[in-house]
Amino acid sequence: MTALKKKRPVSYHLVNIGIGFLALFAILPIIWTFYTSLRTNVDINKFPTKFSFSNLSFDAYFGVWRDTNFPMLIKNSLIVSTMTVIISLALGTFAGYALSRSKFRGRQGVLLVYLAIRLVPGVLLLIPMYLFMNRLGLLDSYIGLTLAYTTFTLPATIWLMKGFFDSLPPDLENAARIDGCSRMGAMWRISIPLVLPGLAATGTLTAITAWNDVLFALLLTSSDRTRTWPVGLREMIGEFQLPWEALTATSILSLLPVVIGFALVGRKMVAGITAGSLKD
Amino acid sequence: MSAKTLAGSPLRGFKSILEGKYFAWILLAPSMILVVAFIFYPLYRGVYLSLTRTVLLEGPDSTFIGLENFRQMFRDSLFLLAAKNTLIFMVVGLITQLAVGLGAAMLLSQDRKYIGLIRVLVVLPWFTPPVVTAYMWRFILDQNSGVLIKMLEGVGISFGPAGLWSNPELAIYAVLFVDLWASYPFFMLFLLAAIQGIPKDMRESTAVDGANSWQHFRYVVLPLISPVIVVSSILGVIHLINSPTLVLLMTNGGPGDSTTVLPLLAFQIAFQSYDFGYSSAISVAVLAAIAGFAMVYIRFAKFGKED
Repeated sequence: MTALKKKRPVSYHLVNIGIGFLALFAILPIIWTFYTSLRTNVDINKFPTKFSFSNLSFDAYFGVWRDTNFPMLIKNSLIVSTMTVIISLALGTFAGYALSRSKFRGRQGVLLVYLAIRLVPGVLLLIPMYLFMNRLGLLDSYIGLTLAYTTFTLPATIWLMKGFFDSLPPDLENAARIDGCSRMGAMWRISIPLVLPGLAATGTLTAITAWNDVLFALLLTSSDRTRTWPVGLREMIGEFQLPWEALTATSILSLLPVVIGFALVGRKMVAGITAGSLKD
Repeated sequence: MSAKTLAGSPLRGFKSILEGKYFAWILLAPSMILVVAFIFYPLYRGVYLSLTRTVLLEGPDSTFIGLENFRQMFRDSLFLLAAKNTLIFMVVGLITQLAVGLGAAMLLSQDRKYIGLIRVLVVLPWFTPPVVTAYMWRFILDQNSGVLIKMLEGVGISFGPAGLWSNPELAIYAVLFVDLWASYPFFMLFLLAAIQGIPKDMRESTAVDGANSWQHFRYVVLPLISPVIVVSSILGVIHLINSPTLVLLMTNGGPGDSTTVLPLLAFQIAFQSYDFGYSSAISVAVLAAIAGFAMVYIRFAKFGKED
């Protein structure tokens, strides 16, 4: 039976070990954090660590959900992330479509500007953004934070959507146009339904960016009304000296939406990181 | 068809605009307005603020003082320390992340069962919220209950009685290690895409010519992916020194000021002492440093290719 199998060279197995190591390096810290969140504080501080699967419970999760304002923070984050996704996708889809379908003058320039925006340091924008939002009366509001995130995610969204539209065969739309469809109609009825998977991936990428951000949330929110979870968690740790099992439980809870989104559209989403930077 | 012939009703006029040559610009306009309002205008204001004295505690007014803020930097010992730390952060961070990213890309470009799944899995740290990354690793590297610290102690490596995070020599490298975990997938993705763009039969032809794996990598793969190495390095460095998030969360500059980097300093000056002018000047200096690095790096990379 093994006679059929080709004998693998040593390098083949070395590569396997390397790949396994990379995978473990990525997920072991997260698995350890999850394991810790299920243990009691007494066990956590006992050394050497005894691995046991008895005495594990989700108590810490119920604890943070019941006794802290974590649910409120999660709600704020969900609202801001959702609003960011809606606006960013709407504007990004239109812009991406225009840049993919129309060969107008200035197209290259617009594409280049959207690429160059990535080079702008966020720190330089913090102060003027804070002052500007203050003047607009948008400090400590959902819409202020949403506008900030939308602007930062737009360039990537536009480049990604342009890529998805580029990969559609143009004949489909031409046929619809000949049948009397308007340009808007052709975009709306033909092209957008076909890029829905791409739209889902782009939306998830945008949602994660908004969900994860600390810096802008730290500046642009000041009350529990709008504070997002990264800011709230940072404060909770400062104020209450959170015990490890509570801290790890909140970490896992806030990582959960990211992991779910990642599991659904991760493969398409990672393309978003390199979008626009490898071609031209 | 010009707008005139269709000008019968306002609706028709609107439709003709949508169908006409302004179609693209109409679709682009909303996103452009946002970008101008929330990126270009703040950028301009930021550069302007750097030339003024604007201290919020003294009132909302700013006085134009030219380059005085920039002169102040060279007298400010904390700025100079932060600049040194930033340099360490940038150089060590770039080298480690690029090296691990390249190695990982080579490994993950091989054909294996489930490789698609592993490629996605390995990128998960990049998407992990920085707050989670920061506290998770603070826990794993905690002096009293950190599992990794205990394991290292088990094999005879210890960081002194006060621990890793109180050691002014080592704390910055601890942050860099955590940043490596979170950020090398960024390089890996770029380089993996580049490596996958190289035709598979290339290796077969170099093998026929008698090249071993290393020679194939050095003389075929490396030159082909070098443009992508340059692009990803520039974006990577921007990411490294652009965002003070991890340092802010893990050490907040401490112990002492041993992990204070420039973006963190700018952040602290702005929102602890409310000196918006000086803080903006530091940010402008960071931007100039990034631009300078990019130019030197591109020149250097081109130079390397010619010989």
